[in-house]
Amino acid sequence: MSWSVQDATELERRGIPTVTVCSAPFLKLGQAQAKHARMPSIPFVKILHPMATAPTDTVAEQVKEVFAQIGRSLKASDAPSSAEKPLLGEERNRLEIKGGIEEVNELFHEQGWTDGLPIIPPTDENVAAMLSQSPRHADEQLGLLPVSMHPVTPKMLAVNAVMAGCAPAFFPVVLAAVECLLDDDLALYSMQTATNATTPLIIVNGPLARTLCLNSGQNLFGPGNRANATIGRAIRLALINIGGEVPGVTDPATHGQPGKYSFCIAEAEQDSPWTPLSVERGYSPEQSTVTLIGAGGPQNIFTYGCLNGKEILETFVGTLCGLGHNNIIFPTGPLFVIGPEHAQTLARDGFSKRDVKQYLFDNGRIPLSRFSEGSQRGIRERRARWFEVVGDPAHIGIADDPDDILIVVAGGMGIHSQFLPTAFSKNAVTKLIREKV
Amino acid sequence: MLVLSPTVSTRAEALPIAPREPNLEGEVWGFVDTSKVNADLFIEILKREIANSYYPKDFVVVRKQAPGLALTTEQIGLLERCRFVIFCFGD
Repeated sequence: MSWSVQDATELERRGIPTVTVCSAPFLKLGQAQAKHARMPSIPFVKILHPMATAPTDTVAEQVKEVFAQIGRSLKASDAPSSAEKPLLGEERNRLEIKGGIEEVNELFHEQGWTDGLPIIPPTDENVAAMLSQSPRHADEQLGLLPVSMHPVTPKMLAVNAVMAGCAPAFFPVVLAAVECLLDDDLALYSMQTATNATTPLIIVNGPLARTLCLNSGQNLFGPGNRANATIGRAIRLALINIGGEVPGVTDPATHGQPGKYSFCIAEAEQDSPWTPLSVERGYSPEQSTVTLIGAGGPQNIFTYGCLNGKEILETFVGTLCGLGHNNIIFPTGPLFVIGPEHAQTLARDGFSKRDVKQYLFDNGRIPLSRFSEGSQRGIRERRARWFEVVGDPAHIGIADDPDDILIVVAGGMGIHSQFLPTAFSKNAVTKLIREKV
Repeated sequence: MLVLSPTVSTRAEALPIAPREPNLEGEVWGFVDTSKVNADLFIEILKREIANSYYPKDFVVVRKQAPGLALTTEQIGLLERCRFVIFCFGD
């Protein structure tokens, strides 16, 4: 459904009647999107699911089945009334709850205000402590957060950061991450309303990552570090409570992924032979930044027996050349979280970061003949830029340009790196972390 | 215990949908092909049904490069020629 409802509301505003056809499991999502767009009467027509694999006869039967309903949705007689009542009730800022932390958690779970894990009750006191670290005014509107497009303020973020268990010192990172979420290049709306498992990954660079003891080393995607765990969780809770994310309704992900609980890492700048991501993206090494990109779950690259940089890169390429990952279909460049041992070996053997990107770009290509006819058609449409600019029409590559490939050095000891397929985002988005002075 | 609500709720009036006409005959019909698999087939069959029932003046079809992309200004311009627009489909 991604953008169809948004587009339909835009056309309705322009005076053009619309009807949106959707398969049954997506009806609730569409209706929720229409409500968030303040146009709950926009008509939908429900068809069978799935249509993607339905034979021609089934598609034809579906058209005949809903044809009359499509006509009725566009005609005056049966169209829903345009006289509407207010959509939502008055804001309730504070809740008086009888009992203690257990009762607060029960209520918050019942209301759908959590990620399923216990939360810290947000009180005036701990929210004020969180806001004491905010460089922006508590009630300043930062933007409209998809999918609900509700205004997001530092105060609302602070409530969710408290719930997530953030220390107040983490709050500037949360704020900067939300600034990234609001950037159109991240394409958050599409990401949030898709069946794809992609979700925003937060990468922290600069001195603040070290000050806050963010994990850039062993097990950085795993548990055990408060800053990584709670900054990522604060973003998820904000997407739920401010952005209107409801699993199974406005978030129709087929599987989702563990990163939807928390997905925050730091770059191991001290262990890298190369320029940090933030410096590549125009910031100085003394500045602290967050970079967000829509990413899938990390796929381990285990280079067992590889003795040099070229052998390591060949293994990377082999990992990239699977048919079903997102970077075949989406033009967003993939992300590699390269383990420090791999990075050191690559640098030892003369590979700069740019060389690594070029190698992956030149070799991470799959013959189109390996794909079905229908997949080839989809690839040609959705990766149109590849066919326009790269000049290799017999293959599809994992990026349209070597510089679209992102490399971060992080992790602990061991001959492992991670490939994170990316999707939706037009580009990674980087913002400066501003601290309160 | 006094706690703060983590959600945002605002008072907002619903926006009306576009006015509908009593008849559908003799108009330009628009379609948005979301690029979901089989959406193009669905539209082709639907066009035949519309042609048989409503004697349309013309059809306009725009196809998205990807379902997650918004309609471009150019595509909206094409669709503004239409009396109705059908989105096919979410799946």
